[in-house]
Amino acid sequence: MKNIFLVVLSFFSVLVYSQENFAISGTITDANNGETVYGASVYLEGTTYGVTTNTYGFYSLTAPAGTYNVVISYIGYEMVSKEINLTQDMKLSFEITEESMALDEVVVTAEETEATDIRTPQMSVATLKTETIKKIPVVLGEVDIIKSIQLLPGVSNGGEGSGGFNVRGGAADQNLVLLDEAIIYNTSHLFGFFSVFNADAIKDLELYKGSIPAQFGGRVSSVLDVRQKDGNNKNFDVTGGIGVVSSRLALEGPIAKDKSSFLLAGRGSYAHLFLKLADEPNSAYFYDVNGKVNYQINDRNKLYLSGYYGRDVLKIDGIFENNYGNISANLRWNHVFNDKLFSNTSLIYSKYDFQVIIDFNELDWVAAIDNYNFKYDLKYYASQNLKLNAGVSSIYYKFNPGEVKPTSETSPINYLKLDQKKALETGIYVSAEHKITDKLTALYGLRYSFFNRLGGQYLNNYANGLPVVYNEDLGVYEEGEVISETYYDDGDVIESYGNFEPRVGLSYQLNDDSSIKLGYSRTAQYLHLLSNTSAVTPVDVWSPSGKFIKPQLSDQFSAGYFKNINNNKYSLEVETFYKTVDNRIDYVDGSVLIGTNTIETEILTGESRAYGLEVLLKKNKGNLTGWIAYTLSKSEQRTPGGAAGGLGINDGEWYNTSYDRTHDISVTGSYSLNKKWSLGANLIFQTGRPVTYPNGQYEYEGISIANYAGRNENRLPAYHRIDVSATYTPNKKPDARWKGEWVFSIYNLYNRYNAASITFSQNQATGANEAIRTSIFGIVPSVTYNFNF
Amino acid sequence: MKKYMIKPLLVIMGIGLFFTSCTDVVDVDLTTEEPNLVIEASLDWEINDTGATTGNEQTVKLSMSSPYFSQDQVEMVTGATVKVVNNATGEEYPFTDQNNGYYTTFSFEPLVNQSFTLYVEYDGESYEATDTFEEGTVISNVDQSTEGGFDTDLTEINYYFQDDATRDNFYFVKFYRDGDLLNSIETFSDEFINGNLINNFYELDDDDDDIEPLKPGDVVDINFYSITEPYYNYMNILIYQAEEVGNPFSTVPVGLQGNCKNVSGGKDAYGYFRTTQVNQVTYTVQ
Repeated sequence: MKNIFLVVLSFFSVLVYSQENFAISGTITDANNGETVYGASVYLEGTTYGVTTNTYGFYSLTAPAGTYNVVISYIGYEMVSKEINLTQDMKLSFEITEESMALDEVVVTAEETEATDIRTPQMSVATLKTETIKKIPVVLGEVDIIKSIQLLPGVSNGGEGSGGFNVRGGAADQNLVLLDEAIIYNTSHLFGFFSVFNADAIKDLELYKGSIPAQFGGRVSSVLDVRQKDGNNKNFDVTGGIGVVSSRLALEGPIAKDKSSFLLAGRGSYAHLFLKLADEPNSAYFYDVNGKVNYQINDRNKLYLSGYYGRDVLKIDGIFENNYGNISANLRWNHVFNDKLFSNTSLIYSKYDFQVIIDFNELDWVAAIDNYNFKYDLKYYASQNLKLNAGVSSIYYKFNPGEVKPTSETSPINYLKLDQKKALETGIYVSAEHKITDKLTALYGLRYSFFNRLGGQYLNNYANGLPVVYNEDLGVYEEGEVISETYYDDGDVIESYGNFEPRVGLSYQLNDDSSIKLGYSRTAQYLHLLSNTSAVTPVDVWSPSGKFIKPQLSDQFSAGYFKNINNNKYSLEVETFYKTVDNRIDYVDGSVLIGTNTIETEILTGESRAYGLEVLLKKNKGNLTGWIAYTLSKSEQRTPGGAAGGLGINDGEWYNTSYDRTHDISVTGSYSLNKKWSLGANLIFQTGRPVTYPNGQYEYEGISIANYAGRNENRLPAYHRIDVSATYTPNKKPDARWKGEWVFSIYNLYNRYNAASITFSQNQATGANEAIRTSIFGIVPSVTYNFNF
Repeated sequence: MKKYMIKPLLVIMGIGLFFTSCTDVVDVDLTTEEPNLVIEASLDWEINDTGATTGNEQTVKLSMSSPYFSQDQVEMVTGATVKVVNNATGEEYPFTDQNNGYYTTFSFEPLVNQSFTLYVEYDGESYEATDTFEEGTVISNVDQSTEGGFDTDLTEINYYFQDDATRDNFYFVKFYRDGDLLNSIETFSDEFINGNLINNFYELDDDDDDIEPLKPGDVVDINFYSITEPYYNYMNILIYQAEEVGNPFSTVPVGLQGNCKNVSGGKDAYGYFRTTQVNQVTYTVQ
């Protein structure tokens, strides 16, 4: 590994000395709060020399000696320029000011959404700023990042009341979700009613649906990269909101002016809100805390420490308690070697765990996954036409798939601890953004990932090496015969896998306003979320690849057409994709995953594929902004019996995944009526979720038994709803620090009972068979008061 | 006991959703497959404190499947040939057609740890299935309480038994309150409770408006079966799919695969051929 580093570094140094031009570098920050700005353009007026800032606000730009006008432009901010005489490498940092604030008293400017970046070869990506997300009407008044991204083409979820999200026909566990680089294993609070991201603590996010950059690895469908605010380093600032379900408060401010600042944000829901009967001693609530501090040591070095802690508690008195949550921490060091070479080193910890206490069984059950991650990334601004990235990441995982403890002397439960699992996942990458001609730009990179499943546990050896066998007599899949056990020592490697993951993107500019892009990416995923339910649940357990489970491997091809219309007033993005995933695990009929030590006996290995067309039309400017997103897609999977024998799951036929949505339409808009009022609306339409319905009944043991047809052959009714919101900002006194706004919203305006599920059962009293629809939300009005001072 | 943990968990997860959700009965258009033979061949051999009965009298029920929402009388199957064979001795026990869907014998000779095969011939198709008598377990005591169970205000019946530590045990329990329309059934294994003195409860909750909680004077039959693992797996899926109502956290339902193979190459019969020892206890709520 050390050797590869040296190679990479020497590669850089060769390029460093082959240049004759001079570099301008620095950081772009928001003048109001000192937050670094990601994605701002820095260019030399009248030339083609330009660059955008990285996630830490850093830029580096190389040009021949001369006199230039440096211009900084960023959507929603005032343009800044400065004349320079470039005769040597120089440092230039800028502060930029928000447009709406500067123009506040003069004209009303609606929030502008970002025009499409037609030049960069990166495609299948969406960038959202928190300001944009805050304009979208939401259920129960709580701004929600996960629900916002579901309005984008290619992104959907399991329906109301289910956590997670699905990208381009991929499963929820195929999304890499990062909060300040730390892996978040469960993105939802209260079964998906809320997401774990507190909008007051979040600066911006990027969602990669395909063409995943080489710096990311470990998941095959998408990367959701969420970045927390650094904390205002100019003034002490308080932001908060009081809602009908939850309230939040964020504090930020300088510790040492312009050198160090902090952010502390907390959120909580009211305990009994979800209960129909107020007198019941039951509760369901969540809370979370985000924190961050940063310290600018000098021009070249900056430290960040950020953390997250969140918890959900669900208590049914006398029966049951379930609590779960994520915790993460990240220590980062930005180091600028010179005007062209930027580095970041991160030490990251994250954990997800849950606990279930079942009173009447007198048992306490816990499970967890935690990981330690070291990352080192380099960005080298080699020349105007070539930028290079390289880095390494190593993640050590510990899995506790379950531990069951009796909670009393009289409990009938025996103590049980499932095998603890350990693994090491390492990735190393190099990538380049290369402007080949004026019109053709390429983004190419290679990631090599390797995964070691580590010892410290027993593993079964099965007859013929088959943990699952097909029982011809019964026509079912059964556990294989255990012939012996092998103990793997702590130092042993049970199994290892390595994969080359090439990533390529090309952008060809047709003219000033339009381009076509092509992308290919191969990604490997070594962790699998075990879930045989329709919706992802908080008690699903992660399992590493190893002797019995192979890593998922995905190939995705995408092509797109991108156009900005009418001077960036509108943007059009059209993309198609085709994606395959090998080694997707599937669950045999009647599989039991919870409390099962030998998961390998419950699964078979198959494949999945998805393809589709996505259209996004955005209006970026004016009083009315927003977008229309349409997705036409198909997502299927197939699991043949293979070595286990038999035809496989669903007779080895392709079947719809439960996240297949033929049509998915989202329309979202916000309209700035006047200085006091702005309005927002969403319209959502989705083809119903594939489900399995009965095709007959028979009598057995005195009850009616439903006979179910092939997997996911039926569909729930289509899902649709409209949400509206209105934001009222009272007259501001020019000098008052206190700023407040009222947000009134109505979710599911026409009170449609969208089916979260339809299940079939026999009425206990009449004996008749019934189809029972469960819908989670009817019409939900809410009001929230937000403030800032 | 596995079911013990899982079922409450996933169902109760669902309760979390119920706080804001609502359920209603809807019309759904379903496709309907061709009617198929259903074999309910439950050779249950009663045991009690004093030992086993003879188990000579046994019945097999044959019927046809129907469209899911059909409320017509179940179509019974007559004219089939039914017999059971002891796989060690080859002894055959023919069942007599009662011309109402039931086939009976009065000369069956059950044997613990012995496997038997069922042969059914109907409409030119031949079906076969095999199962083994597991050694039964007897309920040692039954009492009642209110403070246990899901709801601490309602009466539940507790039954107690000693699990055999020397082997894996699989249990099937059927409760029936006189006057009710339907049985309550459940399965569990001793995976988490091996070798322990087990107590389990039966409670009728009042969440469902149509069902009355247990009250003094109610007479409840408890049938406690010791079953084989394949039958346990079958019943586990059957019960899970029959019981879960309106829970988005439920597993994807599957077509149940019983053990009655069609050896003529056609579609397998629905239902199951089981051989069990059963302990029956009747309890009157005080």
